[in-house]
Amino acid sequence: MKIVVLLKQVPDTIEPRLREGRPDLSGVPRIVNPFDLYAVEEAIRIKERLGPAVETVAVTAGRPDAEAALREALAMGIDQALCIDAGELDEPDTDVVFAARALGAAVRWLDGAELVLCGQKSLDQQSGILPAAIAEVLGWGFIPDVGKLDLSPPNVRATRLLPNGRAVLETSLPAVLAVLKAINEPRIAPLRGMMKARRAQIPHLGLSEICPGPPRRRTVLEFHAPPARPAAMILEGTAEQQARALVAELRKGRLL
Amino acid sequence: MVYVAVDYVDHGLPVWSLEALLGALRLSAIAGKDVAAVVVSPGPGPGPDELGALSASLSAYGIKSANLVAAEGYAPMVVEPLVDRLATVVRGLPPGAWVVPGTVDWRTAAARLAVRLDLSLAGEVVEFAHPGEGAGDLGPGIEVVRPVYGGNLMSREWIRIPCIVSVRAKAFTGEPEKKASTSPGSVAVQVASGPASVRGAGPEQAAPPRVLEVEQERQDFPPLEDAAVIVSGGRGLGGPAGFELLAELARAMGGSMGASRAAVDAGWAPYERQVGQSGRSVSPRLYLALGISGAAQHLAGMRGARAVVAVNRNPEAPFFARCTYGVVADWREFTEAMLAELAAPHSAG
Repeated sequence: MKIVVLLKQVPDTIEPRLREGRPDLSGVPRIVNPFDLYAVEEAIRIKERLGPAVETVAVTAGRPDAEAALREALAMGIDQALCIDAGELDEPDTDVVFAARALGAAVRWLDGAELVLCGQKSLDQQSGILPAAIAEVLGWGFIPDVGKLDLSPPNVRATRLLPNGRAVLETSLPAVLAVLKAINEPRIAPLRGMMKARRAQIPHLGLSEICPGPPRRRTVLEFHAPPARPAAMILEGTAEQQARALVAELRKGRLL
Repeated sequence: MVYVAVDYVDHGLPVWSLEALLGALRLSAIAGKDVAAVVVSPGPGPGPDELGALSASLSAYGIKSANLVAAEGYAPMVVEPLVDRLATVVRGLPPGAWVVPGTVDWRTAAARLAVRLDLSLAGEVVEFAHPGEGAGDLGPGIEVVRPVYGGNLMSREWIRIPCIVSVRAKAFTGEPEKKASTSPGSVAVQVASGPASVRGAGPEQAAPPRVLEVEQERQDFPPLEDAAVIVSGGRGLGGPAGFELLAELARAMGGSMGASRAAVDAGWAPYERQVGQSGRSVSPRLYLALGISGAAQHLAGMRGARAVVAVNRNPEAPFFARCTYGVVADWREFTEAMLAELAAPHSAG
């Protein structure tokens, strides 16, 4: 039973400065997309539950230095890693459908994968639309917003969190699941794991070896700051005076 | 051509469908093209007596033509039958820009359709833009604006037609603009028949998930995504007991209750209540933040709020630079004062 965890390496910021209409990411360290760490942790926990018959593989596609993200997953306890060298996937112009085809091809290349886990969204892009696209590329089932999962081949049962509750869904394997923070608390990599990860040989594949190039169909024209709120009105006085002033303001503005 | 796909459930168009209609109208105004609607209903759909009302509501949105498509097996959280059915519909129409709602299910459907039919894809679109600088020679396409980096930046992008975009929930709201030329009830809703479905081209075909159990949350508060007023608490509340007082204020204001990541991680409030980067994104009319410092990760989840009240003992809290009303106070004293003030009789206006 092979479980693939898809990782994205992202700049460690959600407040990049703008320089000439582009986010200025110089000097910003790159980290594993925090949402993907829940997927890493979940894969390791499944293996701890089901034993050595489970093999966990972390895959990333991006700049060659994205390897560091894979080493972090290995240090936490993932068995194997695969790095797809695809700098073009790291550009803001990346076409989502193409990214899905590339990652789907990587999963197929690994052969025998039955479950793909990934974070619900990425720290930088955040549209949360890629996991379902990967499921379609593979022709697999898909469950988003997973807060709990229970793997019992040939099925996987998942709790999907909803705006007003939760639902228990079941889908046949193979499947893609996108997980939320609620699913677990990622472990700190143990020292022994870190030593092992540092020595690990990570195979690299060129993107063109697994997936033909894309037509250009998305171009970022510019980045701009969202409209700012006007300066706040600061309410003075005792708590009673502040409350009275606020309620009056809210009623005046029909906000209450 | 601009197309919009919407749901028809419980004898009407749900709010996410209306938001998609408004988004499509916005795009059509920019592109100078008409909007054609595809109305999807699970099962057999509206009876003949309901078509008039559906036609009137679409017409109020300036929709000129509509197709009604029944997707058997389509249900909440089970979108694969919808995708199979819609793929046939999309393929049968001239290429264009498709706008779909911003629910998780529609986002999933959009992703699957884009891969299956090789369309350009964008999610969480909050605005359409007039073709601007830089898009000169790119060819037939549309311009979309999406939040990136937690909404701290907006990205204006050109994407090639044919394309499918899902709008961000609550990005397009309000009433449709009244058009004098539109006569009410004039949309002919055609009931589509024809070939059933285009299935996926993958080596294996995805089976839809089976819904085993749906559990509604205790109805103490309305869902955060729908709430007009949200009262949120953070580390400053000091413990789970603080959230009981906070809940009282939320109820007194007719709102829902939220929490910061710090409060959720401390176990004072459940994850379902977390607002922010790794929790929920909310767009209420009014957002009150008590004892929340205002870290970027929290702000990312409530950027859509119309008005924001920040209450904090520390006058240096970053929230004071990002709010509409700032209250430097002890949150408990202020909350008690608010409860008294809200309970007092007042003259409206």
